[in-house]
Parts: sequence; structure tokens; C-alpha cells
Amino acid sequence: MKLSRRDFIKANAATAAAAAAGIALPGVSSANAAEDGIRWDKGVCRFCGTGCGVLLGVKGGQMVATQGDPDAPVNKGLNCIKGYFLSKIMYGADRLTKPLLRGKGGKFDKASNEWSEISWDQAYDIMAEKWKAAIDPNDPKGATKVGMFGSGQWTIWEGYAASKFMKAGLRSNNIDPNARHCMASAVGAFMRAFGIDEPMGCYDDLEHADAFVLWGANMAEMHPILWSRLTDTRLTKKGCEVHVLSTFEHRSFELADNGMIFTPQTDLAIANYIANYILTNNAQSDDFLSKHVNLTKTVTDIGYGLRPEHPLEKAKTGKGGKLTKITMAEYKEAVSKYTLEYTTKLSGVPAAQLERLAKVYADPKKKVMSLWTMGMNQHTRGVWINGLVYNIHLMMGKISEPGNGPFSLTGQPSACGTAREVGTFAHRLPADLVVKNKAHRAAAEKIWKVPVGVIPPKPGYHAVLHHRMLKDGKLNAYWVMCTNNMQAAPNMNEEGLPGYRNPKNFIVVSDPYFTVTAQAADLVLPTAMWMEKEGAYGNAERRTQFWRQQVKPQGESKSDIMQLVEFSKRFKLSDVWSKENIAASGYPADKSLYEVLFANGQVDKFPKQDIVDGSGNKYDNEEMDKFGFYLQKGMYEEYRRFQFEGPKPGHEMADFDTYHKVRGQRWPVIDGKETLWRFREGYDPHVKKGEGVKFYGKPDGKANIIFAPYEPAAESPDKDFPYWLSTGRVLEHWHTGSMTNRVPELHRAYPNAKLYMHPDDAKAQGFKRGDAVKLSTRRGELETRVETRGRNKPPKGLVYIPFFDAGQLVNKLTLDATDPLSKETDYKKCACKVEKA
Amino acid sequence: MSISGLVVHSTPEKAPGVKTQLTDIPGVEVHAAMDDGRMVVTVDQLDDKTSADILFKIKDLEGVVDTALVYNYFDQGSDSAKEELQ
Repeated sequence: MKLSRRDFIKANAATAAAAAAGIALPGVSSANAAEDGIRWDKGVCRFCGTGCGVLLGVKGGQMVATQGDPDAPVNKGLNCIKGYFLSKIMYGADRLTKPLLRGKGGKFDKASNEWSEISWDQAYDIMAEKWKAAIDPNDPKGATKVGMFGSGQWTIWEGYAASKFMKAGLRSNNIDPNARHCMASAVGAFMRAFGIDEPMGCYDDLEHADAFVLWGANMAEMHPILWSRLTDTRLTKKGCEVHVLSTFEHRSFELADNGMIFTPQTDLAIANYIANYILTNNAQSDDFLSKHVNLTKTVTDIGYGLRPEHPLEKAKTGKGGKLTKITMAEYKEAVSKYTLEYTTKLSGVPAAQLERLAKVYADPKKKVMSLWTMGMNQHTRGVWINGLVYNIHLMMGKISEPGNGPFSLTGQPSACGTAREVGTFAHRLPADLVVKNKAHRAAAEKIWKVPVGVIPPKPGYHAVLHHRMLKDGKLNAYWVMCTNNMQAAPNMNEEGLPGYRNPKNFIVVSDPYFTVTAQAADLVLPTAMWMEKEGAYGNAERRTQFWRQQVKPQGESKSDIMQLVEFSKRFKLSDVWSKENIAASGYPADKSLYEVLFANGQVDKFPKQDIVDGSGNKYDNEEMDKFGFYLQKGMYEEYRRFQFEGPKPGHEMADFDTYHKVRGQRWPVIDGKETLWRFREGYDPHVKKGEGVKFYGKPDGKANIIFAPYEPAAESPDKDFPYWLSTGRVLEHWHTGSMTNRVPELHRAYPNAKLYMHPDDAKAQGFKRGDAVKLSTRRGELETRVETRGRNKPPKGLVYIPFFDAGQLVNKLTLDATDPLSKETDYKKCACKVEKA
Repeated sequence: MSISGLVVHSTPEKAPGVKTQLTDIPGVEVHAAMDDGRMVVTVDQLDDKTSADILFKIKDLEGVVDTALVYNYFDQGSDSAKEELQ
């Protein structure tokens, strides 16, 4: 039989789809795509924190096909619409191919609107000049005038290299990732409640739970693959129910048994009401509480993380996050205010619905999985609300076992694996260590082979402070990698843009595309992305996943790690370390940072080798060719020493080569075995026989219940700005759209941002669907169009707009109010008005 | 050439109607239909744009609960689409 190529590919497509659904397809042989000349290899999706496995088809040096990886436990062969068009993100028509410097003829001119192409050597030269001018090696505080803004999209070794380069090399803690905008509140709450970061459970809970509660998350659009797993459970398990809490109705409500719209910020009251319901009905697990939990309360009235001169900061009476132990009687008294009547009135959720929700948590026989993302994290009380949900699970003992667990979802592919685990935050070091702890610094300095005293003890500037300090002229040499922060950071008009354009500052942006951030920079470096380099990500369920380089970088693009390591060659120790540091190191003063940090006998110990998969296919590795050793492996194996030799156990991972063979593993990985549920005997190797449950992140093995009250939002609607403004994403686009908006199919499906509004609000203002309107806040305005019938249905008094559209810069409008504990911005609440354009 | 493989989720009651709607779309084939309402579907089009339009259209068909995209093949060169192999 003669099979046309078209029929052959179609048969492959049908077979793959059938296999993913577990359907036998009669009459179709299992076609082998390899016959078509396509080289297939495993990889990981570039977008959200779900971490779907994908198979990558390369032919003639180009990625021509992708499919959901049927062997990937996360997605079992499925793709969402973004993942489906994944291979196209590398092939946008306007990929950057050469370094670009602001100014004519290769001469830097801060005031110019023109760009000139320069060589990489010229680019590193001008960077080194600007960096050295900003660094005083003998300043005891370290290099406070240089900074780096990184990413939860960095690969693991890129984030690790950046953190090491900044903290041990340049002696600056001014490195922070975009995960500050995304997961910082989750991290803060994990550390406060459990003393160790990241969820105790895993995605398997999606099949084991009897009830699901979405706290603000719209999983149907933002985590579609996890949503399809949840949907399967809801439709096939008898008695399974789905509760959805949100400030507006969205696609996840289609599956909701109990869909609840609450007034912004009142989630704090709702969580306390549930705690009150459990305690007044005496439904709590006294046994679990007495053995595994400490009761505490947090300092209140702590402000809104604005600039110190803001009236709201002057008005606050409390500061920080100190915890005080309380008794059960005091805890009961604290939550007793949150009665059904009070909470209904405050939140606007009908009493019957709130009670139905509370009953699910209070029923000892129902296994409950709580899920949340930005609704709870991007919140001026983000650490508090994360903690209030942990309180509920802890008092019922519904935690750390199959189907029972609070689960903090993530928004970026390696928010966990990179931003959080390797220590790219201003206050952190690898494997949950922190800069202000002397023993932690000493452990890092030992592993990094640098003398004691090199890492500055004071946490550096966090993300929002970066822009404020750029504007104030205190941060002057600044490098942004792998993120589009001008579009994503809050209050762009008043902080971000004036900061970048401050004549005192030199801004470098590394990106594959000419993003809004790149357009505001002084030097733009073309960057190899995703499958143009060997990489690794860590997803929301602690799963570490590797991939091999599949295709060549385009033009003169270089990966972030190659840029970092190359740049380190431009510094001698005497440029960056004090005389005392150099003397203590025993290194000659003219030794380069490259030799100290990378070619140091440790990172470069794995020699150049052929990269080959199980079928004998060969792969490129640009960095190995450039430096002459296996850089990724050296960085990873050094990082791994933090997990086994550092003072905080519980983060152990498998060796480098293992991850190139398996479809990821969930840490802690001990003796080759991954951990699905942490802190419980039988599942977690760190909990010994007879201990039952042990929250070993805390010295006494007990988790904290932390009482925190309802406190109002930083900015609420008023006479002049009568609507709540909430911002977020849509299914078709990922974050600022710098990749998805370059995929023609996704762009066509959702070309421009629009303003979702209640039809009655629109009618009252005389707007018809599709009308052009001016959306404004106290900080800025933009023009958009009204949508009254779309997928999102806000209640009266609230409007919603996605932020992916570079033509409608939503963050000109948002307020840079942050959670004072996590320093994460609240993108979900500020006051706005809508007028005819 | 743009070829996609996907699983379309419907309910047992609505599945026959969904199947009819699907087969009415040019280039769309239903390879298997299960009792529980799931179908294995391919979309075969000349270019990605048409393909994408159809994928979004399928999601909005009456009776479709969810679609799961599994496989895609994009090929810019139309000549290669005519290649034959044994």
C-alpha cells in the first residue's frame, strides 16, 4: 500500500491523540515518526508552572513538530492551546540577532532614539566600563549600585550562575527575579508555616481529592492541563464537588458546584470564617493540633509596601511579621468575629454558599485540595491569606496525604526550580538558605570556594525597590534577563520608566525579542531561548526536568548563562573584592572572576563530551563548545552540594545524568526515589518510622497556625474612581505576550486586550459592547474596548483587563502597593474609572 | 501542510450531534468515537491559520465540553506536502 506523506502524518496525529486519551484505534498501525526523518526528543513546555512534557520534532535544524509527551506523568500526552503552538515561539519574524546599543554609529547616547548594531566584544566592553564605574571594591556594604533582574523562566543553572556571579562575584545582593511579582507571598507563607518552601503534595492529589476549592484561581484558562485532570475527577468520581471563589465569574465557574463571587480583599474574612465554623462545631482534629501544630498570631496594621512618605505608610501602627504564640482560647476568640452574618455582609457571598464551603473543609471524611495562584499571592496581605488557608488544613489535619492538601500553583515554568530553589531572591541563597544568616553564608562561601565575608549580609533591593532605586539614582548599572519587566512591573509611569531613563543609569536587557523592556533599555543583547540551549526547569510539584539543546541559536544569539560567564571574564578580583577579601582568599588580585567562579577546578571538572540520547542521536551544546567543559553539568553538580552539605536538608535531587533519562523527579530524591507527599511517614524519607507527621522545616517539627485579621485593600473604589480594577491573563497568551503574541494563530485568536465589564455598568455609562473607552487610574490611562459578553463576567463595580498586550500597557495604571512581608505587588486591586474615549 | 490530532470531549447524549458537526467541517476526520462521549479527531489543512481557526471553532461547538490538543505538524514548504513515501 502506498501511503502518502500526508496520510502518514495524519495517522501519526490520530495515533498520538488516541494514545493520550487511552483509546485504542483500530486499523491504524502505530506509525513510527522516525521514518519521516524527524528526530524526536523529550522536552518541557516554555510557558506556565504546570511543567508539561512535550516531544520535540526536529528536521533540517528546525523544529517542525511537537506533541504532548504521552510518557510525561504531568500531562499524559495532552497540550493546551499555547503548548500546541509551542515550537513557533522561536520563529517570530523579529528575532533579535545582534547586540544593539542606543545611539548612532556604535556610540552610546542615552538621549538617542536610534539603535546601532555592535559586536559582542563591544557590548561586554561598555557593560564592564559601566559596571566598574558603579562598583567600589572596598565598600563594606558590597556593590549596592549594581543590580540584576532575573526570572522564573531562567533554566536552573542560569539562575544559579546569576546568583553566584552577583552575590559571590560582584558582592551584591541586588538580584531579584520576576517571581517576586508572582510567588513571593507563597514563599513567605511556606517559610512561616512550615520552615521550608514549596507544596507538600503533588499533582496526584488531583485524582485523589473528593473536593476542590479554587481560591481566586482560574485554572480553566491559566492551568488548562491541570484543569483537565481536575475535570476528569469531577466527572468520574461520585460525590466529587468543585468550589470556586473569585472576584468575578470566569470559565472555571462552568464546572463549579458552588461558584462564589466575593468583594476584593474579603478572602481574608472568608478563610477566618471557615476556621471559626470548624472550631464552633468542634470539628477540628485535636490530636493533629496537639502533636503537630503551634498556634500563633502575627503583627497587624503593617502598611502597604509603598514608598515611606506615602500617607498609608505613615498611618500604619505595626511592622513586620513577628509571630506570637497564643492559646486555643485566644485563637477561638480571634476568629469568633468572623461569623456567617458578618462574613456574608463583608464579602457579598450568600450565607448558604459560604456554609456549604465551610462544611466541605469541616467534614473529616472529605479529602480536600485547595488551589490558588495570583489571586492570593498578588495581594497586599498575600502571606497572610496563604497562611489562613494553611490554618484550615492544619486544624483538620488535611495535609501531606493523598487528596488532602493545600496546593500553591505557579505561573512560570521554573518559578520553583530556579527562582526559589537556587536562591535568586535578594535575601536568599541556594536550597532555602538566606544571606542574613552567618552560618548559611559560610556554607555558601565554602561550596563556592570564596573566602568568608564575600557575601554581603544585608538583603538587597527587591523587585519593586529596583525601580524605585533606579528612579532615585541609587542603582546605576542594571541587567535584566529573560523577562519583560517594564511591561509587567506595577506603576510604570511613576517608577519603571523614569528609572530606566534616568541619565545616571545604564540598562542592559537580554531577550530574544525587542520587548517593551528592551525598547526602554540602553543595550539589548540577543538571547538564545528555550530549546536553543540545554536546560532544566522545576515545576510546581517539585518536579525537576531536563532537556537537551535541540536547535542552533539564531543569528548571534547567546544563552543567558553564556552571557553571564563571558561577562565574568571582564572582571579581576581587584575590581570587585576588597583587599581583605582578596587576602583571605589567597588568590592573586589579578585573577579573573571567570577563574574564581567557573573555571575553578570544580565547575569545569566535567570535560567536553558527545551529547547523545538513548537512540544514539547527537545534540549540540554551544556552551561546551565555547568554554571547553560541560558547564551545565558542572553548575548543577555544584548546586547539588548545597542540598547534601548545606545546613537545611530536604531539598535533595538526583544526579545530573539521571534527569536526562527520566521524565522528571519530585524532590527530595533519596536513593533514586522521588517524594510525592512530604512530612508524612511512609511517603517522605526524612520522616522516621514512628514519627507519623513531622514538619521538619521547623526546629520542633511543628507547623504554625498563624492568625491574621481582615484588613482593607490599599486603594478601594471611591467617588472619583468608582470601579475595582483587576488585571491578569487569558488562555491564549502567556504573561506579557512577548512569545505568544508572535505566534500568528494565538495573536489572531486573541489580538488585543479588552475590558470586561458588567452589562449594567456599561449601559449606565452609555457604552455598547466594542465601544472604545478610556480606562484610567490616579497613575495613568489607556484606551481599550468594552466587552460585556465575553468569557469573564465581572460583577457590578469591578472591571478586568489582561496585561499581555504591548499596545495597552495595563501597568501604567496599577499601584505599586505590595505585601509588606513578601514585597509582592497587588495587581488585583486598585481604583479606576471608565470614560468614553 | 498543517495536521493536528486532538481529543474532543463531549457527553454521551450530545456526542452524535458533535460528531455530525465535526464531519461537516472540511478537512476534519473523526477516527474514533467512544461511548463516554470522547472522540479522536484530526484536522488537515493547507496552512496553520485555517487550522487554528478550526481548532478554536471546535472548542465552541454546541455540545463540546473540552478539547485536548495532542499532536501537530507544521510545514512551511507546500512542495514537501506532495512528497510520497512507502
